[in-house]
This record gives sequence, C-alpha cells and structure tokens, in this order.
Amino acid sequence: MNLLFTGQTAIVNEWVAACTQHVCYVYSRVEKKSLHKNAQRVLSLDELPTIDLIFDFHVRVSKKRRIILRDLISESDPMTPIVTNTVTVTATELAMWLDARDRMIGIAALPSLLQAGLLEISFPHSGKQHGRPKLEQLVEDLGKRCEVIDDEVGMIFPRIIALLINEAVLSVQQGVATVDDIDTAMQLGVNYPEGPLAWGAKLGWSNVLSILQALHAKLGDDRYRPASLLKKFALTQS
Amino acid sequence: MSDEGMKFTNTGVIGSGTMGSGIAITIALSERNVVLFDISAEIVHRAMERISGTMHASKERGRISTEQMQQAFERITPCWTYEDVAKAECIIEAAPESLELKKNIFQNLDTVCDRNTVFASNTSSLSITAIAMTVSHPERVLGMHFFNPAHIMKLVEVVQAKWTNTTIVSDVMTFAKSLGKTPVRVSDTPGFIVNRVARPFYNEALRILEERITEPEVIDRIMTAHGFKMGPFTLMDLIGNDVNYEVTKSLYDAYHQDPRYRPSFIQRAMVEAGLLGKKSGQGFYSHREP
Repeated sequence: MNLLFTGQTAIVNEWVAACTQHVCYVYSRVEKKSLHKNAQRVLSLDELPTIDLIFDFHVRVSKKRRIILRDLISESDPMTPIVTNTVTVTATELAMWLDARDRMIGIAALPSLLQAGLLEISFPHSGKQHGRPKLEQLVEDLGKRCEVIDDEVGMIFPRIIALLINEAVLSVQQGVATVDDIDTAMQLGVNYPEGPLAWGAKLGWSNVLSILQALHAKLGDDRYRPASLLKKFALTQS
Repeated sequence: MSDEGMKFTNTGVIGSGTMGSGIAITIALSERNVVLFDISAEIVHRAMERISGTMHASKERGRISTEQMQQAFERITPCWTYEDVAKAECIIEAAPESLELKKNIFQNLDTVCDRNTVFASNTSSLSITAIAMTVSHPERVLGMHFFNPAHIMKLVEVVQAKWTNTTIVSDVMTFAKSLGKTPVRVSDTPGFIVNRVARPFYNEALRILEERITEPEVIDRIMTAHGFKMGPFTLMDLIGNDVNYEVTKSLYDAYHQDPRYRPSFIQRAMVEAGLLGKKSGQGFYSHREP
C-alpha cells in the first residue's frame, strides 16, 4: 500500500519503521535526518501518487493541524480514508468540521503505543466507516488487530494512563514520596509494567498534558485538571 | 551479620489475621523472634495452624528449606496478653481498620512497653499521626504498610508521621530490607502511594463504563495489551468490589470530596446488589463453575 503520514515525528517514525512492507510518504517540514530512513518526505501534496491510507498523528488540535487536514481533504481522493489521532479530540468533531464523516477513522496514537498487540480505533457518529476494511488489513499486516470503541476524547488507554500519571505527579508535588519511590511502589505493590513517572516521560509530558487539558475542557470535570508540576515537566522536559 | 542488619531481634505482631500472620512469617524467616498476639488463645492458635500450612506450602514450592521452615515456626510465640509483647523492640500492629480499635491497642501497648519500643501500624487508610498522638512519645510511631500476601510481596511503605523521629524511620527502612523487602519512604497522607496513585486505574475505567464507551472486557483487553497483568475489571472482581469501593470512598472523604477521587455509581450499585466479584460468584464477570 501507499501510506501517507503527518504529525508528531516520534509517532510517525514508529509507524514508518513498522510498515516496511509498504511505501511510506511523510508530509512534514522537519529535517529529513529526523525521519526514519524508510520515510519518503514530501513537502507538497502534489508530489504524491494515489494514497491508500492517510494517517494524521498530530496530538493537539492546533491551527497547523487544521490547515494540514484541510489540505489533505482537498488534495486527496474522496474515498481515501483519513486515520486521525483522537487522544485530544473526537473523530466526530474533526469529521464534521471537515465534512468527511464517512472517510475518517479515529485512532489512539502516542509514542510507544504501537508496541501493543491491539490498536484502539473509533468512527465518527453516524459515519459509514468506508475506510474500515483497508485499515484493518494494514493492522493485520503489522501482526496486530483493531479494537473498535465508541468515539470519545482520550480513547481508553491514553485516558486511563494520563490520569494515573497525573496522580503520580500530584503525589510528587505534594511531597508524598520521591519520583523513584513512587515508580518502585507501583511496580512492586500492584505489578504495574512501568512506573507512572517513567511512563509519563516515555509518552511525552507535553502529550500527557494535552490529553488531560482536552479531557478537562471537553468533559468539563475537574477530576481531569492537570497537576501544576506536570505543566512544569511539559515546559522543561521534551 | 552486622548490628545494623539485626536490629529488632525481638519483635511483636498484634493481630493474627491474614496480614498479621504473613508479617509474622516474614519476620521469623529473617531469624528474629516474633510474639504473635491476638485477643484469645483460641484465635491465635488457629492462626498458628494456618501459619504452619502456609510455611509448608512455601517449602513445597521450594521457597524455603525444611530446616528454615522448622526454625522459623519455632521463633513465633503465640500470646493473648499485652504483657507478653512488652519485651519486643519493634511491634507491628495489623488489626482491623478501625481508628478506635488501633488507638486502644496502642494505648494498651504504651502501658506495658518501654518508651523506646518502636510502634508500627500496618494501616492502609488511617492517619499514622492520629494514631501516634494516642501514645506517650509519638516520635516512635510510624507506619509499616505491607502488601498481601505479606510474606511474598516485596513492597513496604514506611510512613513517616508528623512527629516521627527520622532515625527511627531509617532504622525501620534497614529492618525492612533485612526482611528481604523493598521499603519506600512515604509521608503520612491518605492512601500513601499505592492506594492513592492506583485509584484512576479503577475509577477512570468505571467512568468510561458509565459513559457506555465500551464494555469491561474490552477495557481489560486494551489495558493488558499495554502491559498490565490484569485489566481493571478483572482486578476489581479479584480484590472484591466491596473492598475496592471502601478504599475509594475512604480516599474521597479524606480529600474532602475532591472530584479526582469520586466513586462510581456503578460500583456502589454492584456492592449493594452483592455483585462483589470472585468471592460472591458474580461481579463484572461471572465466576461460577459452568
């Protein structure tokens, strides 16, 4: 298949590395040396052949993301599915804004999530799911399977892990224990595969903050308010 | 072994239930003497039979040798009067989770023990500072929170209360390491580390279920795909929805109804309906024999 990726470089590179059987185009302005060696960088959508699947791996809904999505919609075949990251926005919201309800698919995408054996996907409310067979075929080629869930911000794993990480950071902030002791305690006390603070660094502090801010804004519940120390981690650490 | 490693050669455990028995086994296997207390001879002798069974099982699994098992068992002395615990250098209380009960226990210990005896509580939800203020010399009171089963799980949360002497905290950390445990130092806050930080694993999964985004088995599948040994609903059924709900409620109240810790109406309804999980045959999943 011809695949087109755009968005956060760390996530794009993981997918390009996994999709070695396919041709991977990356629509990005980052330096070529930042991209995986299998990536074919394009600076203009005119340069592309027919694409089978488009992946939008931006995390936040920025002005840049909106412009790119608008361009992708107008420059691509109307039947080409667009798989868009729904950790901070619903597929329904983006699909309605772009008037592309039938071709959009939501996916939970963050650094390291591709290591799991299953991928969370969702569909815009009352969309016709045209892209589903093609995406499921690609995911099967990767040795994984899709788990379809209802369309909501944060999906399942990103939402739960962001809250866990937030609670761990809040505990550090309040002087409950040190970073290392909290990570040790969660691994030894309840067998977590990783300590929550280490996990936050792996997923990217800015990403975790973006998920919490989106949940807080979209669901309107103070349970999602980010710890102020987490905001500082996002500002000072990559 | 150095003096530091063999601190607290004589210890006491108050409460011979699951946790108290497990703690007694752990200490006895570290070549220390343990006086195991409960409120009647009958209760503590029943506990000794269970301890014997547990130690035999450990031997069968190759965790300990026959000699270690026999020697450790002989180091545990059952008792039912506080005077018999008086000579212990460190006493770990593992009674049921009631502040009144624990205060009463420590007041009794205070009258028979030396002022330097370290008093440690295995409480998972009560304030160590509140317990400490009950006794003379509160600076020798701290928390030692073990995890079930206490003779296997490596983690111990060593809880420093407002007045706890830091040298005593260090001594207890060293003591815990000599038991083969990994201690972590925690300040006296509701839930300490594990019970608090783990809340979202259950509460957010329940919130997702409340919103009907997907089913328990899908959530469990997704979380295990990312490395968790068990998903939240499988784990809640294993722990017991009643136990899990009580911990959640306790934290919600302790933090004065902060929405972060708000319990789920789904979990309350399940507890009220007796759908406790494995122990009642039905929880989020069915656990009945086909």
